[in-house]
Amino acid sequence: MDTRVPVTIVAGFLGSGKTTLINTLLQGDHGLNITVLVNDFGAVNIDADLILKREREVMELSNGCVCCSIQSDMVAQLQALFRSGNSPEYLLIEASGVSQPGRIASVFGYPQLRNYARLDAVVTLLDVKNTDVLSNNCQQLVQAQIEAADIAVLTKTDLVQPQQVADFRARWLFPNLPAFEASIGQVPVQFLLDTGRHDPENAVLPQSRPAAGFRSQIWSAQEPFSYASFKSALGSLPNSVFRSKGVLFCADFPETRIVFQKVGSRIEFHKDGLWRGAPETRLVAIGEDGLAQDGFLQTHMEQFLAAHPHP
Amino acid sequence: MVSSVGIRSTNTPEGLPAADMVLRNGRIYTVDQDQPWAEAVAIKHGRFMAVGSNAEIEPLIADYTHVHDLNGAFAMPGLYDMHTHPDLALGPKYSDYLDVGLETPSPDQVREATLRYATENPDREWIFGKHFVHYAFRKAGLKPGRDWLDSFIPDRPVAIMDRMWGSCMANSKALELAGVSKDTVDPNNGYIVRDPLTGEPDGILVDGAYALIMAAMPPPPMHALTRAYREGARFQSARGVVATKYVHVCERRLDALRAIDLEGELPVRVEAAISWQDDIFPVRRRWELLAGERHYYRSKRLNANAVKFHFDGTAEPRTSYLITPWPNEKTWQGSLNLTPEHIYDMVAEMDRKRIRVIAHCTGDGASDIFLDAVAECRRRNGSGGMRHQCAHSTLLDEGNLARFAELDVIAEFSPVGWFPSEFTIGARSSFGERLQEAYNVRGVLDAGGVTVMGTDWPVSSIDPWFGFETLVTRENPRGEMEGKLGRSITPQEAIRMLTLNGAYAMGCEDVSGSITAGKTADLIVLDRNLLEIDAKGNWHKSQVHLTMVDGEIVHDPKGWMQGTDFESRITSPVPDFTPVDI
Repeated sequence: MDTRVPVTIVAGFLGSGKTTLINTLLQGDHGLNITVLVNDFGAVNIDADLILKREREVMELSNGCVCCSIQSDMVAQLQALFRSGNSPEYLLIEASGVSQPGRIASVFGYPQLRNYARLDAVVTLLDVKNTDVLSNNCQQLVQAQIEAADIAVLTKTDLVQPQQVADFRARWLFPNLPAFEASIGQVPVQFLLDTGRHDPENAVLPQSRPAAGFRSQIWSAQEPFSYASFKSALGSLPNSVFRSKGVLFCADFPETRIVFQKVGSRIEFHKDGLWRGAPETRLVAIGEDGLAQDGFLQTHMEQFLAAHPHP
Repeated sequence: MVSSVGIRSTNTPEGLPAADMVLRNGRIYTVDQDQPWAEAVAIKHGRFMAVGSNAEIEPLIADYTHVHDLNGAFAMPGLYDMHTHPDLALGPKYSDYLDVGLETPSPDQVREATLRYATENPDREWIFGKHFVHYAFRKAGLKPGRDWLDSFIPDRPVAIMDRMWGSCMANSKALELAGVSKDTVDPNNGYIVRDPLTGEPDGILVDGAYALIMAAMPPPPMHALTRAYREGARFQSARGVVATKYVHVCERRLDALRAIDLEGELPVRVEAAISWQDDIFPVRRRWELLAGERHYYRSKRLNANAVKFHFDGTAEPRTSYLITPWPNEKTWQGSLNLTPEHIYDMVAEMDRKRIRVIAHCTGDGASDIFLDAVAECRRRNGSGGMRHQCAHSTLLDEGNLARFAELDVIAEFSPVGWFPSEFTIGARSSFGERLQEAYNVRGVLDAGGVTVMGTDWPVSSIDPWFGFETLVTRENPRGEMEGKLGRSITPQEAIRMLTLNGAYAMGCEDVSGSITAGKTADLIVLDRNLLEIDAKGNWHKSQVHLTMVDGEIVHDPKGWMQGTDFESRITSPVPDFTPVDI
């Protein structure tokens, strides 16, 4: 089982609503011990009753959350955090509004960090009302923030006409980037975090019920398929499947459990030791729209795997 | 024993008794304690023949002597910029690399530009340049990397940087030539993006990993390096610099410097320091150079008898190596790039070879280890070894100030961060309250040490006058920000630091660095008298009306020597590397 600390990076240009989201997460009843790294405490507005202890750079909350500010070399600070013996259960990083989250995301690929942490997702908040009027430089920055995103959250959609939202999606987003709309300052936090506690065999459904409209489906198969076929099938899951997980029985690595994770547009595979019991592919997907169709996941997988049979 | 001052080449005729040139009627500040001021100098065979009053110099004027009247102008020895990198600032710009030329090119535009460049540059083995944008690829539903590049240019190495300079996209041929395969170990400051199960590189190299590609590429073309050095030196000379250290060089850079030197177009004396680590650029045949091939480059104007180390990082990412943890940190002291044992052995070894170690030390912990290493080196090799140079010396431990004099280590300070500015406050804010201690020139001088200045271009301006002024004021020369950072030194101390101390740092203080009879005729004439005006807001605007190195006129914007035997051979326009004055 992957015991590395899952990491979510929350990005977005100044004013896109990051602080609202962070506040909601910090104060939420999610049962996770979250450590939040933020660029600037000033904007985080925690209810004083929730704060257990506050030192210069660190705030401990009564729900188990810890909040501290990014001050120094991030690689060094994260190394210190993971080696401290008090490693967080979940790490959330609020990127500065004018930073490139891709640069933050890339440090989790560095050899000295990747054994401790696993980047779960980069969530980029996008202000539908104000992005188009930014200067050219700022728009390049927004591009960099979208470029790094696995999930986009469109904010302030209630302040514009539906057509404007549709235009925004067409102009700014990629074909395979899931983008959710936040309504009246509320972002759908319940699916942004790794709520399955990084055990691929657990259901990915949040402990509290997901927002209406979200569904999950499962699919399993005893027959092995090639890695290439799995990559193709899972890479083609529609945008509406925003989270999927499972173990794969790969013909190329028949002895080894291959763990698959999808968060938004981020897809990961990794080896996870030998099979315990009979090898079997088991997948679960959570999403909206497409998954409303019964048997969608099964049909999708079987069609793709049939089109790319293993050698 | 014959003083080296008097030694001339054996095949040079003694010549005539009078001076070749006399400059008279000046306010000449000599930086010579025995005779701080003079009115006139007589120059012969590139050296000061005599320094004194107009009347004292008069008998040395013959009918063939060129006499120039300074009309009361201020003159002083030329300046020594003891740490700069014109090649790093300009080399890539002049290399004619691929430039897609659009802010946000689409993948199709990147492909077209790459193919066009490939056709137009058939002789270039590698195609390297900028830039692609990850966003544009994702928008087009494409994945940048080796497969995409291979689809249209599979057999010639291609590497293209992304717009934000955070990653590089390489094709299969480039990966192959760089030896990047599934077995390649990631560097510790970046990684190779790979297929997670097979480990095969997909052609995207993040942060430090793209150095693997650059190490396999040919270095910047010679024409780019010669242009960079030529223009850098031309600018320096026009700003009164007569001697400089070009820190971080490789064989090719030395070849470029030698080419300029052989053409007689090097207007400054250069000590070049061979790069020790490959993190700036790879140095091929480093050991051969250090073992003795460096002497191939030796001339009156050029030597490569130094080596540059990077002991620690920088202030901004808090990688400067400190003796105690960084402000607001429990344990983080920054990072030391080499083990202390490595440093000890190499300093002693270089010292034994008579190679000067120039060690980048921004944190007090790094300079502490450097001073320890020099102490150990003196113990092993005895005294009288090389004067090693502590570069930047951003933060120094109080307890170490006296050791610079004791161990004969040069404390070099770089001007960036010497005065209050948005940059200083921003980049250096991590020092917290210790910012006031930074660049403790006063402390080292008071403890008897030798201090020098380096501009460190492109980190800060190559114009030495900004740092020069702020040595005296520690205030913002342009008045953009109020306040003062650190302790200042006197105008006389600052002048000495940029002249005689520089010569000491190059090991030539007995023959250069002050206006003294017998020394090399290095001199500059200014439009203002530095010692009669308020330094603040004034010194950095000083105009240099004449620069002379070894008695040779290398910068003569007023045409004073035009039509004479001393007419400057260097007439190229002075490039504009000075930040725009507000």
